[in-house]
Amino acid sequence: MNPGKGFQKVLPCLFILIILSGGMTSALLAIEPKEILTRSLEAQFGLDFEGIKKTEFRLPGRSYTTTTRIIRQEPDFTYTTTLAPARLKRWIALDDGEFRIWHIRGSNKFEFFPSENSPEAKEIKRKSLNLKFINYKISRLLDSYILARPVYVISLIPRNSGNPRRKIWIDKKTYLPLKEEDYNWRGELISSSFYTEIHFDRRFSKEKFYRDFPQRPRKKVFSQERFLSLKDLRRKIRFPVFFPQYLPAGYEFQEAVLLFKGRAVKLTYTNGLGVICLFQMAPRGYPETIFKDFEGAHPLVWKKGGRTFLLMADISRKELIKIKQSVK
Amino acid sequence: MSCKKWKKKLSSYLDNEVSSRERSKIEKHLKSCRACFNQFKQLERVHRLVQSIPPEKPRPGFYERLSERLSQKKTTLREKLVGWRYGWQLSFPRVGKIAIAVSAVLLVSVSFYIWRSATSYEVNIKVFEEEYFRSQQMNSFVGELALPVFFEIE
Repeated sequence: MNPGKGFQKVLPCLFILIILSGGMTSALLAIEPKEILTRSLEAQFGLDFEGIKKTEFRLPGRSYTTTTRIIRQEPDFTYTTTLAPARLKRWIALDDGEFRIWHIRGSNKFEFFPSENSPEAKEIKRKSLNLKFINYKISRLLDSYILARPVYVISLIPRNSGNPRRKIWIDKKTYLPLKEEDYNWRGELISSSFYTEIHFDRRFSKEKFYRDFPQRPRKKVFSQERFLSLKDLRRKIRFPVFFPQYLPAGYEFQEAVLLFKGRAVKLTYTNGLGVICLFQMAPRGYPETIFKDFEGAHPLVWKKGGRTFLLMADISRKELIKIKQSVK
Repeated sequence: MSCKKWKKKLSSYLDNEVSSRERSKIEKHLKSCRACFNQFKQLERVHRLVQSIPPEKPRPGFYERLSERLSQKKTTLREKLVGWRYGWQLSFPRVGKIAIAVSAVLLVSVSFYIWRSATSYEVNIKVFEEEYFRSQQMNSFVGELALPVFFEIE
């Protein structure tokens, strides 16, 4: 009996065993894509960084591209300056966790919006993530690199057809999303955002950023600059609001925002990624003519009971009409 | 209607203070009701008697004394208002009054305009588009809120 021959027979089995055990170990240690997304959400509220980001939105027949410098200080401070297009270079934004204030440098113009860093906003994002887990098949693709940093690549494919899908590139070390691409239900790219430069752990004095404003913006807390729940909305609205009785599968209420000093309301529904916005203007609010030739994000405009409705969503026309017919 | 109510109206009837419709109703009732007719006749007699009494002239110096007593009386608010109106009529010429009235109207109109502009917005359709993107961004991971000026980007 030749012992060398026996070893030769065992060798391939040993090799397969090593490969299998290695694979199993890595599978056990590998982080779940859902866990990556959860950590990523927390990272957005818990990191200090400075970066340059390029964003593109596409609408039928046109697209908007902006480049912004973003300074983020945890937990709720963001300062944004617009770098491109050139004509918007004077635009700056400051989010202090209460409001997001846009300002044109050299002017006295301020625009107040709901803060994206507020606890309400974080809660909306958390709910949205849970909806993504329900309505999307989340899978991890091959790892890649962005700005020479290793990243997880996560894909979100809708369980129900007719909804958008997403691809996200998440930094392995910090869990900050560095790139994101959204595609509509027809497979067309509708928006993309990615950092072209990023530096972590940079601390700045917040006061320094307020100096860019001619005076420290003061604002009375108007409800229209806050995200409202349905309960809050019913308490604050001055006219009876209509709600859609039909929504495509997986969609739930996201937020309500009062516009134009409470003369209009925006109701947003989401499946975690796609959104349906229903705007309604109080009777004698605005003439319907302002919507003439409006070819924006697939809108549907109609009048009912003296008020004007505008429905916007990147879903099929058939579904839009079904929602419209159910509004009461 | 009961006789009590008709009787109350008899005095007004004699003084010509009732409408023609009421007058004919009263006359109709008087024809049918003896008691009311009797009361009417009595009243009519008293009425005639009163009219036959010649009016008495006041004693000499009555008006002078009355005027003196009125000037000593403290003016009431109503009297003050009447006085102000009288003063307004006297102290401003007609053109001045028109000027003041026009100024007041202008002041009210300007105030209303300022109030309206403070409470109304110029609505640009892009605002809705922008709000749509804003809602979309809430579901984004990388997203920082879109610029509030889509209409300026074009």
